[in-house]
Amino acid sequence: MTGATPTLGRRMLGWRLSISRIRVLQLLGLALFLVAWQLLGSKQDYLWSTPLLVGADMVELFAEDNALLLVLATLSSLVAGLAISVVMGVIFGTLLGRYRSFSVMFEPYLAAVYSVPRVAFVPLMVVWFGIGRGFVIASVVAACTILIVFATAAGVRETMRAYAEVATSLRITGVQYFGKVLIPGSVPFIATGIRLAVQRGIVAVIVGEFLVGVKPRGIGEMLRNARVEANPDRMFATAIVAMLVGVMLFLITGFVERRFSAWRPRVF
Amino acid sequence: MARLTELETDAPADWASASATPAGPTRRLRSRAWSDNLLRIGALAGILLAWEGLSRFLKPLIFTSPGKAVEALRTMVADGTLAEAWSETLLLLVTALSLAAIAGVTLGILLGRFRTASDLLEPEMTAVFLTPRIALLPLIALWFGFGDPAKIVVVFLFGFFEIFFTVRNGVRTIDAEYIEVARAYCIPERVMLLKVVVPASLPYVATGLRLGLLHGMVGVVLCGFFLENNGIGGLLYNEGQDFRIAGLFAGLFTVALVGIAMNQTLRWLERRLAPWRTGASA
Repeated sequence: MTGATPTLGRRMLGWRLSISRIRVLQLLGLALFLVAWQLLGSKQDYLWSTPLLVGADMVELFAEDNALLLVLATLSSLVAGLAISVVMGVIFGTLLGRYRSFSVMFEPYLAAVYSVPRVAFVPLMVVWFGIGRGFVIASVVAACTILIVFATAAGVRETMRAYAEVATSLRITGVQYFGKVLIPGSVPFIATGIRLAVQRGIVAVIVGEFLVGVKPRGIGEMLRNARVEANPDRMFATAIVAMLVGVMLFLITGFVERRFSAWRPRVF
Repeated sequence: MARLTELETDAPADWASASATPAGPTRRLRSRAWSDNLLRIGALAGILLAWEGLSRFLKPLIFTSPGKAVEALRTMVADGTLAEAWSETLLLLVTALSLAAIAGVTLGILLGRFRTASDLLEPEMTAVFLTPRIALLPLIALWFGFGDPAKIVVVFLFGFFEIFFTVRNGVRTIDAEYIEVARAYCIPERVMLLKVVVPASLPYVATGLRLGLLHGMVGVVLCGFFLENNGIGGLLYNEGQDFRIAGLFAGLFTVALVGIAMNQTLRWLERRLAPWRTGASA
């Protein structure tokens, strides 16, 4: 990103402090945007809010309304749903990648599920799982599993292409073939699948919480409240919290993916 | 932030399509094709049987049988509820995604070509892209109400970024040779954009449109949940609220059909625009 721009790299206390022209311009642009928002927004702050009001509301959100707890509740639902998705997805994806007959039988139908916007399943999940936490988790599972299935299947196929002959010649069969060859081989693919699934999963959690008031309350509940109060400060503050969560998840999953696929050439 | 490039490569979509044709190098035997079709039909029969069996076993309040779902589908087709919901939804989708496509493709090509402008806008673009866009819904409702303008904005936001980032990254990966040759002939930047960059980025435009449309469908459904409860999203929402499970299943079935149809059409378009690219890694 900084490619062509001159950077002044410096090591300070172990942190590399690099300032490039682009960064300075970016910050200037951001500052300009904030000033403009403050000036224009203060004329009709019941509609547009202002950066200062949003900032004050952020402080209130975390200090008095325990926003951190709500974020943690949302994240824990996401992690629980994701864990179930990964287990189911890896099992099914491995079968799909390993056995041709399996893929012939189910792949067309799974590809169909893939094209469906899976948030559409949320009302069905309400009916099946009620309005408790189970419902939110089920929504995540509905949204994410298919991504893991296809990622794992692709990984298993790739692994078989590379190692099937070696494995045969070493007489690795049965459970060992799955446990020592296929699944470890497809880990990088699964990591990519997880990264994509997290992006979809967080939407599913928030939609679920937003649609029905779920206990324990989460980010979706913050959106519900902001909407009922018609309070733009709170709406912006909540959106920023959601953004921070999104950025954090992106960085973590990106890191995990790189960590697990360091040895894999980047094809996808 | 520099790794944003990878965000929108919707790999499993491609894995899904790449492997939709049977795996392995076997496709030459006609008898194999026959038995494959038999297997597929057998699997479908198995799924339907399992569904029927489950519906006998579970309470009708929360589950339904294939027969009842088909019946519900029939009534919904006959009394026009489906037609009404889908015409609203498709109109919304077409309007919002045309706007998203125009904005996304134009900006994608320009910012793909002009690196500095792109880098300047990067933080803001990334911030909105990484925000689960549902979190912006209360603000959109506050500014635009609950009707069609708000819905268009929501679907636009769902579709725009997929299109924009795919096109922008595509433009950046255009063969440097093309640009070099054009430079060698001293072609002015405006002509270069129109005659070299735009044609070379067409396949990415097609991919971006497909991803944008798929993501836009998510937006459309969510609009029906959270804004005015009409369109297909509203239909699903209402059926769920009233515990009409058969109707809910029927609605979901039509969502699946439309999703598949759109995906297939746009894949075909992609292949037409870029016949040299083969499925897997594209």
